[in-house]
Amino acid sequence: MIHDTIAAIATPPGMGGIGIIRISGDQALPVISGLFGNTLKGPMDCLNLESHRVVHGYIFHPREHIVLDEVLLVPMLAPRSYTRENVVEIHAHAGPMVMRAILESIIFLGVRLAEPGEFTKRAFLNNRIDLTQAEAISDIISARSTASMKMAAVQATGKLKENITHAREILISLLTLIEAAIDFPDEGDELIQEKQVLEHIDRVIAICRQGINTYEEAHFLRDGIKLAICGSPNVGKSSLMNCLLESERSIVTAIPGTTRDLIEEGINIDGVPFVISDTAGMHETKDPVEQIGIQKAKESITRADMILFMKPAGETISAQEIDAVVPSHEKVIIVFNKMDLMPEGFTPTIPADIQKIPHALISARRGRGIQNLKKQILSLSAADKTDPTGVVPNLRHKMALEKTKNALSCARQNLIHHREEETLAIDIRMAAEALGEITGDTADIDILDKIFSQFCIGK
Amino acid sequence: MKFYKKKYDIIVIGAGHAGCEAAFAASRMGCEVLLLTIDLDKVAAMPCSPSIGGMAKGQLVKEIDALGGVMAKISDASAIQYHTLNTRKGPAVQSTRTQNDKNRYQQIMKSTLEKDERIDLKQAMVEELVIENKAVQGVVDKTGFGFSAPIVILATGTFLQGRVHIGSRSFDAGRAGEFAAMGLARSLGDHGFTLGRMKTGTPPRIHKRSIDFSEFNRQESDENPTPFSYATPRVTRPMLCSYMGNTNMTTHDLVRQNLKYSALYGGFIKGQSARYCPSFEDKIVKFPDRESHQVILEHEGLETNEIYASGLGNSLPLEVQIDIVRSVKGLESAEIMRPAYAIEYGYVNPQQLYPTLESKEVQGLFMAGQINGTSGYEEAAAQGMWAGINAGCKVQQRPAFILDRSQAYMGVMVDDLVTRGTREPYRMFTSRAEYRLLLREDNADLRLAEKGFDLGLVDKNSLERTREIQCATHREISRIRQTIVKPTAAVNQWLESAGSTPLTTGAKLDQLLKRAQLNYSTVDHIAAPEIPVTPRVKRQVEVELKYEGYIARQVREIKKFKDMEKIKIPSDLDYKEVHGLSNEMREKLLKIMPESLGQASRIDGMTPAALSVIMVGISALRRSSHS
Repeated sequence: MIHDTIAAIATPPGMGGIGIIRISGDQALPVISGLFGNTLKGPMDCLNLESHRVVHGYIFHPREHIVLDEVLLVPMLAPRSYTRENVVEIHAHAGPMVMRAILESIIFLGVRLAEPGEFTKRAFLNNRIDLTQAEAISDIISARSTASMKMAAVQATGKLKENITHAREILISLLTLIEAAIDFPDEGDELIQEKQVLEHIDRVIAICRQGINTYEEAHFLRDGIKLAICGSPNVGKSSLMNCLLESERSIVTAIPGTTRDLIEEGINIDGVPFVISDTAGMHETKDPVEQIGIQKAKESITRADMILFMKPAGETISAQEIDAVVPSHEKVIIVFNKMDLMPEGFTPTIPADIQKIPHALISARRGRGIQNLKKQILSLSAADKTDPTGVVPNLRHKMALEKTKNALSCARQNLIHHREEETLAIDIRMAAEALGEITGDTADIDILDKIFSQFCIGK
Repeated sequence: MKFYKKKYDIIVIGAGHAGCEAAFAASRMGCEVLLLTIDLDKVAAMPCSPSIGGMAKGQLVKEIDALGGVMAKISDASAIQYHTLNTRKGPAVQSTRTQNDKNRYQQIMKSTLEKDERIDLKQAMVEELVIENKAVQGVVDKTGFGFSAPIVILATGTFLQGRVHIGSRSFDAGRAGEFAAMGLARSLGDHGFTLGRMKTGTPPRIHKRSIDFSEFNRQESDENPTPFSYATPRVTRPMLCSYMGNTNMTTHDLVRQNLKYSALYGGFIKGQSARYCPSFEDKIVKFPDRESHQVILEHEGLETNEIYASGLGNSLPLEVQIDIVRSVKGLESAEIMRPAYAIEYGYVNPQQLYPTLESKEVQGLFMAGQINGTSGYEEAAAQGMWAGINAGCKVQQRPAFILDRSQAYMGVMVDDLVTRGTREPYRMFTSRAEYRLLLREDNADLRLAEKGFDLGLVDKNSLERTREIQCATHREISRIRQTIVKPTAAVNQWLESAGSTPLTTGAKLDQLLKRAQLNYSTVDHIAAPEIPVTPRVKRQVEVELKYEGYIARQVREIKKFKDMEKIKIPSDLDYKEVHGLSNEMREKLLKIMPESLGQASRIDGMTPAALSVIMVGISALRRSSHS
């Protein structure tokens, strides 16, 4: 069976203070030798570590030799491990930035990111798990893969996806030209203009660079748990957001419909990163600008991991209202605002069919009940049972961008040295396939189809 | 019903390019072969273009040759023109194409078949397959006479339910003027095969005397052509040229005005046509802005005045064809000897075949060539050889002979056909081969001769010759790697004269050779080997070194690819019991029944997750059968 070395973050994001990164495969120990040291002097030889004995030490950046984190290392040698391969677990501080930096370092040293359910799959293939569990494992693999595909698809939206799709199209049309010139030499040899190809390649390289930079600057924000605030106009959504941010990001006015755009901010509640979006109020309107805002709000709600549904205290709430926004009734907190306008000791009335949904009573204007709300948010997020590799798709994107960039640099060199079309085709195809991993277009690129639709070919 | 007393190992139906190679391969392996054709005067006929080879097709021909087949040798013996295509590009995408004297090709093929002691070549129209308990027993011809064999190879070309179209008229025919195989199509239907329809066509033939060649540009044959076959020492026959001309707006208007009379556009044809081989009507309809299209006039042979008008294939009524041909400059007085026509024919979805090209439904029934949805003499010949070898292996109870995608274009084609099927007549292209850099014309024998020898198809001498080339290449490459070139005045003078930059310090000779402007002649000038190497070895050395980095990359990819091919899927794996597969994927898997995880990975729409659960399924099955 196939045995390269794989790694992933094994603990859900934001749960507890310790995060675990697991590496499994032949290369686990050699790789960790490039990263781990038991003193601050730098990495050490880890090939002879004793199995099942915890070692204290530090993880170093593989290139810059700065300390990334102080960790506990647990080597579990084959066959006495979950996958029956050599496994190393790194117990690090659970902050998402730290976890990600460590995982990236491991990947940098040639380890592959684990596919959803892959550790369990290996455990099964290596007879570690009982035969009776085969069905359950298959179900896990396909369910997780569906979930992560959904996640990847959601994350690659907007500008990023637009740029990548565009870049991929450029590469495919280049490839079409090159392959047409190769397979149909009778149709004229002048299909490819070197200078033009070079320009296109440079454009795609620039798009990749930009994507990689954005990732490196902003990944913290994008990795947060997405929290959307919604409710009718003027219920105090912007005030709540400001409260949570303790700053004046949104415009707070008494005119309904002020927040026309979607506003996103990152915050950190007890070390767990959140991205809060303050959505436009949902109401019927003819104003085109507002309509756009409402549309964006809807998108942001569908993308959200958690929703704060706001309602003025004193007003009644119905299951239908929740249904309209979160049909599942999961991951939603009902927030009754403006408690300062209600009599002391007020408790909101909640219909029986939605009593299971957690709720909080606050005054965003007076900053009351906010601590309690934060606790509710945290506990709801800690109950998160989503894919533990949930933070990974973004890293996959970045890896795909780097792969694209490298392949194109190669193609560029070849062009400058006037190498043949057939090697150019290899690099460009590799680049286009890497970009397809981001946009989800992983099926074979049907170049012949493109050639036949573009060129009049044949006798 | 009477059956012939002689029992054959293998019966091949159809003596076209597929059938002939199938018969030769099986015979060479030691099998008794019966080769049946509707018309003994049409053995290995070329009903369309007089060319053999071309992009990717040339590679197929070289592979057939490397495995001991006949197509390359007979091409050399009948060629009237040679071209190496893509000489301005790299060696992996260079292909040989010949133009052939069609009659000569046929005659040589026929006499070669007749000389073969283990092949009985007979004229018969097969009407019925004899199948018992899902295994083939033999065939029965139109007169009710039967032949027995446990293996039948169908190589029916366009004859299976063939129907020729010219304008609104159509008639049953295997090719214009020949009988179609209607009974055999019915027999296949009776045994549960669903036949699809495909369409192809051919341009008109014009009398040479009626052409004004001064309006055309001559295209000469290559000087000093390299023969197709490794066994052909050199080409000596005089070569003929072709003539290039163009259609014009008058031609195009004629097509537009008469489109409704075309069989293709008048709604008379249901069969699927190939996009890479459009009829002239197609070109006008799909690319309305083009002001002209190429016409190439090619000789059909030395003894005939028929000229093949490449580019003018159509399905229009003859009166329109005459006007269209005569609207082309230089063809004003053209006399059409044979009209262009379209032909529809039956094919069997190749996903119903194992990678050996044996049917999954009926044991012992193999299929090769156009019946599998392909087009082209070379594609047919390659499949014929493949089916012939595997039929031979079955007779001799040897393991199946499968070349994978990293070993040969043949392997790419067969894998494409049985795994993905085809919606239009399938033609080979170099872009279909992911390991294109390794599957070159120049190394076909180095790739395949050992395999051909193991099968008994290649003789010891040819093998030894191939081994010697291999060894000499390795020796010379390692010598070149170890040679350091000093920046002497003589060296730098040579480098500058070759358009390359002079050296300032010592350099390795292999690094010099990798420079874009330099080739093996640099080695000869700077540090020639003590014993000169042959031109063939020089070429190998140059290619291997120039492509080195990319070849290394493809070799790494091939390793991964082979890992997946090695994971065999047991035939008793029940996809209905494999959890986590979508219904759509389950159905595809049940239909194709891939033999390995690698083949499964190439099924249309396959996902990594689905592959993972198949892997879990395989492992579960293995473990439950152990316990």
